[in-house]
Amino acid sequence: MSVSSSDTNNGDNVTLSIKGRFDFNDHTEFREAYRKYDSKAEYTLDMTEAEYMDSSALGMLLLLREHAGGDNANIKVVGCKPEIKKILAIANFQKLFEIQ
Amino acid sequence: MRILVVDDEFPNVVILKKLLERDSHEVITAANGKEGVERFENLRPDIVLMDVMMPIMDGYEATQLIKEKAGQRFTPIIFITALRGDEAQVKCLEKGADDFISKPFNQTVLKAKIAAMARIQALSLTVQAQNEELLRVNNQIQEEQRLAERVYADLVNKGIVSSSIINTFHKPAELFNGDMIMAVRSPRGGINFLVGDFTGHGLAPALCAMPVVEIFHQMTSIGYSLPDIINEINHKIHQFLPRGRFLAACFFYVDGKQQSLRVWNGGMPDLFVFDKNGIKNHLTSKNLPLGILSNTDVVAGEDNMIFEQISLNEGDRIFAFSDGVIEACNGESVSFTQTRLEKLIDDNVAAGNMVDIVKEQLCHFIDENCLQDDVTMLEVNCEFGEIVKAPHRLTSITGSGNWDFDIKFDVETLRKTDPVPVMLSMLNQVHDFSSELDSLFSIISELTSNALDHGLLKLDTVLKATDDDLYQKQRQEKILQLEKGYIHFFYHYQADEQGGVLSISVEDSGDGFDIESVFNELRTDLTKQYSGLMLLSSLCGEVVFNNVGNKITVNAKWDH
Repeated sequence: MSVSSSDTNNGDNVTLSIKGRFDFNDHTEFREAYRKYDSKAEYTLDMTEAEYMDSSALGMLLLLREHAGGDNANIKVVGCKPEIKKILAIANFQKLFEIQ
Repeated sequence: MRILVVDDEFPNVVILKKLLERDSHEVITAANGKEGVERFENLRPDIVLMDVMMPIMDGYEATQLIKEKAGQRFTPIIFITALRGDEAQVKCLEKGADDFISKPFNQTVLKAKIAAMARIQALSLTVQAQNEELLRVNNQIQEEQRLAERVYADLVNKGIVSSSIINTFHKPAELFNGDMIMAVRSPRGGINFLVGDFTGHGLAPALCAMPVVEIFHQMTSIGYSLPDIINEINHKIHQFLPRGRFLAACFFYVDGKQQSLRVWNGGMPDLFVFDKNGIKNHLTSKNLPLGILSNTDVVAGEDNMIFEQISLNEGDRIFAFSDGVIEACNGESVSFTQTRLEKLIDDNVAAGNMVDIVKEQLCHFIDENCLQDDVTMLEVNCEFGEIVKAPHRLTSITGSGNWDFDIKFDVETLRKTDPVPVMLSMLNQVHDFSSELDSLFSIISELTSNALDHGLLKLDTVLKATDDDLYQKQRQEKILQLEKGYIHFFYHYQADEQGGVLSISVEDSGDGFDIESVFNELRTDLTKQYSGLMLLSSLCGEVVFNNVGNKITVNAKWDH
């Protein structure tokens, strides 16, 4: 997997893009990718190029949510393939994230 | 350093001794190979300088013996040789020499070679020490893992009630895979099930599984219902688990009396209900997994307590599984999928044990004899008679004497807690009621709802029989509005030769009722509205009211 990040509006809008398999091997890389941004930023997780995600990856989304202020977090997950959408739906993550 | 010089030519020995002592080494000497081996054994030098040609025993043989005796400890042996040429030097090395120096001796070279050997020796000692430490730690970890596996396996076994109607596949030996299965008998007349899957493998999920097992087992055994149990488990693992980890779980209650199924699914694959015509219900995950939200979180309340209830027929079967089943991959990275599983079930409804069928087909599909350790399955065959008969496994510290206790619940407490499991747990602490748990639960439940619904809330019993939904709604509203009041329970246990009598009195702060008119009604019209009283009298014989009608006394008698 690889994570790339970019931001606009002086870091107010952050986009994290996932490529390939999103699984337990990616903990460190994913954390490094969001940690440099402010917790008040609006995050967009671009999954257009993500092939797969496992339950550890769900855990990483929770860590991002915590970084971004927990209940006050503003995180969008976009571009999910049907298989990934299904995994998010089984875990009912639409209750915590805006999934488009 | 202590250096052993083995040489039969005395002048060589003297020169080497002088040179080495100048560099502050301690020198011991031997005049031939045999003597050299003896000195080595007694004095354990750090380095050996060895001549090749000697009487009695030559340098080659002595080297071999010294290397054997040194064992794991690396003892450098430097050959002193007058032989020149590659062949001779190769032979020295082959015979076990670590290096060689030529005669006549050059002090600088000698010094450098000794220093080099000392470095190698130090390195070897460090590696050896680290190896030993690693071996020790490794043994310790393995030992602890074995211990943890046993504790976990015991817990898991304790967590599944033994019954012919339950089939499971689960590998507790592959300890830390994070999957769990539980089935525990409730005194309400049904069985509570849990099929769960912690994120990640390893120690954290295993440690968290332990309180989950304990809570599920204890709370179910004394009659708590699923919402209370789920809340408590969520609370516990939210405290314990590191952030980003959670427990996907499907809890369900198979009610043997009402013949119904109640399901809470948070993050697990669909739960199937099937009969001889195939799968008829999919109970999909509607909640977040446990451990993500704290119990005080806004979303944790109503939003994450979505239950589904369906009625069951005798012979219906319930099939629960972890995602390891549908994600199992064959050699071509093709996964088994839910579609394949559903078809497999639909095609084999006549088979007796669906878990075995799926296990077999899954092995066939992945083309291996052994399934992955995260494949977990549970099947329940709904034979309600068996469900009601399934054994309790509640442990208690028991005495056999006489005892009394009373407990009074105020309105605030009644709003927040279900008093029945609380009292059942207390009673079971002082006396082993495990074989009477069902009837005890029914008696105390009836007495409690009689005191609360009729005594305090003054709900209409006729409504319960005609429109239970409206009744429950009114009950909810009234209990919130209630300002003051209490229910007071008195327990008195009298042991006798056959067993004992538990006498229970319940007094509420309500106005009571007109006993005469109710009894007259009962005599003429045995309708459903007094079913609670009928049940009490069938379990306890006589039901005695005080003259105001706000206190009931029953005597439950059990033979040993």
